[in-house]
Amino acid sequence: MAEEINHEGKSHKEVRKEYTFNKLKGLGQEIIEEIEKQQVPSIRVPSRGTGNIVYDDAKRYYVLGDRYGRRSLGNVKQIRKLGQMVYVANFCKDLVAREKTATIREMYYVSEGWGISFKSQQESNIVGEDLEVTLGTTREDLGLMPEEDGASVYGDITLLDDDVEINAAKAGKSGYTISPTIDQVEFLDCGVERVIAVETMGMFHRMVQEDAHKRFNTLIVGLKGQAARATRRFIKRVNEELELPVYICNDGDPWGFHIAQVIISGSAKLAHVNHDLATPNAKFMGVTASDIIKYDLPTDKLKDVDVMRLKELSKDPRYKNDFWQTEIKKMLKIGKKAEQQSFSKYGLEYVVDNYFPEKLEQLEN
Amino acid sequence: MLSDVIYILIKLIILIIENSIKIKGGHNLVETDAGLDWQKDFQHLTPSEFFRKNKQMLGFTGKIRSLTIVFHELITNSFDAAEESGILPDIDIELIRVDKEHYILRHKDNGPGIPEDYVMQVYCSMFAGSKFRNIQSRGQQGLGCSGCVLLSQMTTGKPARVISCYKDGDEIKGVKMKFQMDVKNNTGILMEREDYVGESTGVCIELQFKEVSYSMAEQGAFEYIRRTMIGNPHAKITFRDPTGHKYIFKRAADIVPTLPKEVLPHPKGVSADDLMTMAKNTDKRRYKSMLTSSMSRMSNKRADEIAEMTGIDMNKRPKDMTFPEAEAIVQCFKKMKFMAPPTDGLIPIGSEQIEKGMKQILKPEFVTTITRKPVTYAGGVSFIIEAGLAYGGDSGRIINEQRKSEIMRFANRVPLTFDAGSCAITEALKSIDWKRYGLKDLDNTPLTLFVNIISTQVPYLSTGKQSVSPEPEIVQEIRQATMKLARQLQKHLRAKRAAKEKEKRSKVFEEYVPVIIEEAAKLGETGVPEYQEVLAKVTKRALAELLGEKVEEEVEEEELDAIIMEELDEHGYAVDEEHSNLNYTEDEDEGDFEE
Repeated sequence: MAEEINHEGKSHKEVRKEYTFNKLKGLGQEIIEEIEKQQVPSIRVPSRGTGNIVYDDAKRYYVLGDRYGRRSLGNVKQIRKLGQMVYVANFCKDLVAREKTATIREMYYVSEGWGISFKSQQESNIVGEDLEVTLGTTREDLGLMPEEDGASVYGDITLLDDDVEINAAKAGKSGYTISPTIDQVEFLDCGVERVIAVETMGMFHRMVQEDAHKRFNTLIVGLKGQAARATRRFIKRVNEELELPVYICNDGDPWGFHIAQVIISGSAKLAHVNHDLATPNAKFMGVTASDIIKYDLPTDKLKDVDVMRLKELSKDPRYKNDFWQTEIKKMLKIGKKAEQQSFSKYGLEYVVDNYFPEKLEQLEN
Repeated sequence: MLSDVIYILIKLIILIIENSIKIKGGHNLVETDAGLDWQKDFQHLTPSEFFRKNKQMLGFTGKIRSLTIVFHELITNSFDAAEESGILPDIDIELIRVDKEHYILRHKDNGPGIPEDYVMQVYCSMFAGSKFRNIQSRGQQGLGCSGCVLLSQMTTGKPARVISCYKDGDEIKGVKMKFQMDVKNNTGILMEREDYVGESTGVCIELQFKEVSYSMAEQGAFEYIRRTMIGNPHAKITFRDPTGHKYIFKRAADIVPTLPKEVLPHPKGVSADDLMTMAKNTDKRRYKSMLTSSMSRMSNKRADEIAEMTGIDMNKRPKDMTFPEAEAIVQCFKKMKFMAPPTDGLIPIGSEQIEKGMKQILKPEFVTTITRKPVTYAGGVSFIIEAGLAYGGDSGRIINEQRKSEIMRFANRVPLTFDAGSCAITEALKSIDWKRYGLKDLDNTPLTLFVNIISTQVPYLSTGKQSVSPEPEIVQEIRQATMKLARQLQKHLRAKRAAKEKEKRSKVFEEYVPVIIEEAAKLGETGVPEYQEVLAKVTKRALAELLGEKVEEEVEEEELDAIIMEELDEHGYAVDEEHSNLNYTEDEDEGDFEE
């Protein structure tokens, strides 16, 4: 599968493919070289333990620290994992070469035929992550896909997925669904100026119905709760490749805050790939505690778990700026939360007619 | 074990008979209704009548227990007889089922036999001899065999059949007898007799029982034999059970145990009643000489001290001793200091012998035993604790197809089968933190714990003599002994695990190294290199690790570190120098990462 190394005239997709393929191959060569030198091969895998996850102030997301775990051929506990890693690497190399993808569940079943199989899906997930973090490539690059689809996108963006050209404004009322293979999708054209991501599909459809995409010249992204990896990847790419500002509008509660925050600053768990997932430039639009007061929204009382969560968030480095600290304190003080759809108190159109324009005005100036 | 109560009761009955009818109201045994015909009613209160109503006094409570007690009495008797003659006991027992809860028991030993004139006395006279003896004994004082005959007669009405072969000079004489017990007169009634030609000495007794049942339960007769054999490895027992299955419990040791010597009781272990008995049986003429000759560590000086403290005249005749006097003297003993009692009267089984017994019966994977040095409880009664621990093999009891741990309690070699809950042995063993010795789930471990307490006076909790009083010194000794054994077991289990681990390890390498290298070659698109040396290296290294040797690989680490850091930079993120152990929160669970 030795392709010619020639960066000229190669697409984003092809460059990534080649890079990943060589990384995988290099892992095998590294092991064999050690054997040839009659040394016991061992691979060092950056630790993903709690103690090794560090918030990088400059990058504004979590990264892995400098602690490493070891997978040695000479250690009875590690040899299994090393072996599994080599098998997974071969499996991924094959996927990359054939431009196929597999879910980790599928890989788990394929592993039944390997010399060292997995005892559980959990075990195979960990080894998959080991490989990601060791090679510094994402799971998607390796051809391993999560099960779930990403968010819905509506608005004037044209994508090339394999040979199919799709315009997300002409893909039906529910828009284009972000595929787990989003990295293999090329952006062909884009006629919008910004991206607004919303937590619920209810709000997504409200915006589509009110022509928000046209009125604000925006892409509408329906996150469907906590954003999938593909969604975060997509948001990052439109933000960086197309230089579109990203605004996130969620429910006004700690969970809505955190859905936004994971998009902006990445998650601790995926610290090793946050450089490919976090969009530090994305902005949280609302619903803030201040909004709840200002728009006098219908509210629910904060439950104990909400209060606890808010307190946790206030200690998290991702929330340490003044904006978040003020909003968290304010919410705790009023003891109330509000859903994004509660604007319909003032009529269905109110959120698009009044709230979004006012917030965009605030955020963009 | 039954005799204490019986003895008192019989004494009481005799007393009643002697005094004819003097009983006033309030007595438990006889009601005091005005119209009662005392003479007539009282005649019915014969021992046989009494025991029919109060069988439990003989220990015969429950169908299983009754049969176990019979086995116990007969086996103990045979052991004692054989040992006294320096013979290694060899017993044949056969239990034949006649009908539901109706059995014939045939018990044959190789002891010295019983001379014809004494046969009926042994089997038909209850309560013979009640002299105070301070000797380590299996714990029975005379009622045993005759109690069995009584139970047989009471439940079936059938006579006992005995064949006894004994030495008369150089000749072996034999006699075959059939007799019944005359309960009223405490003697036997001979029904048949004929000469018998036997080749060797020994007694064979055949008894019938109803209302008893044979059981494999922990309290059953079979288990009793099994345990007896562990405590008496010098014996051999052949047992044919009601189904016809023949069990042969082989002899594990060829030494007849040394006979325990009678030692004089220590003042601290003597009660007022004991003292009265001594006074009655002594041939001395004064209190003082009676005291010094009947007890150990009792000097003339001590006797004088007692005279001084109690004001009792030490020159009085012992036969005149009153109970209040005895009580006063015993009170004195409690306050005085005596040397610890002599211990040469105690004959333990011996740790080697216990080991042999446990090996023979339990075929364990691991066994360890201990015999502790004599110590005392209650200030003056010496005792020895012996303990054994067997693991694996046939150790433990099978309950619901699973092997569970079992505790075998013994006092002077005799298995204690009942009343386990309150016993010092149970209490001591339960108080040990077994987890410390690597036994996470003691109950479900194939383990047999053996504890034997040897003493001239085992402090039984109840008249059934089935549990030992939890005296602090006794509990402590049992704990010490058992914990020592537990440490040995822990060592064994560790060594076993290490060996298993070692085997597993080298297997892991032999299995995985070749496939990993092949797969790595495929990944790197290279040929498969020669890897035998690396394989040898890792196997050896794993072994070193196992043995706790430090494997050096620090240098290697530094180099690799640099390479990976570089790669990471190339891909877009550097590693932060700072370590902040922030308490991050996340919706998803963190993957478990092994470092």
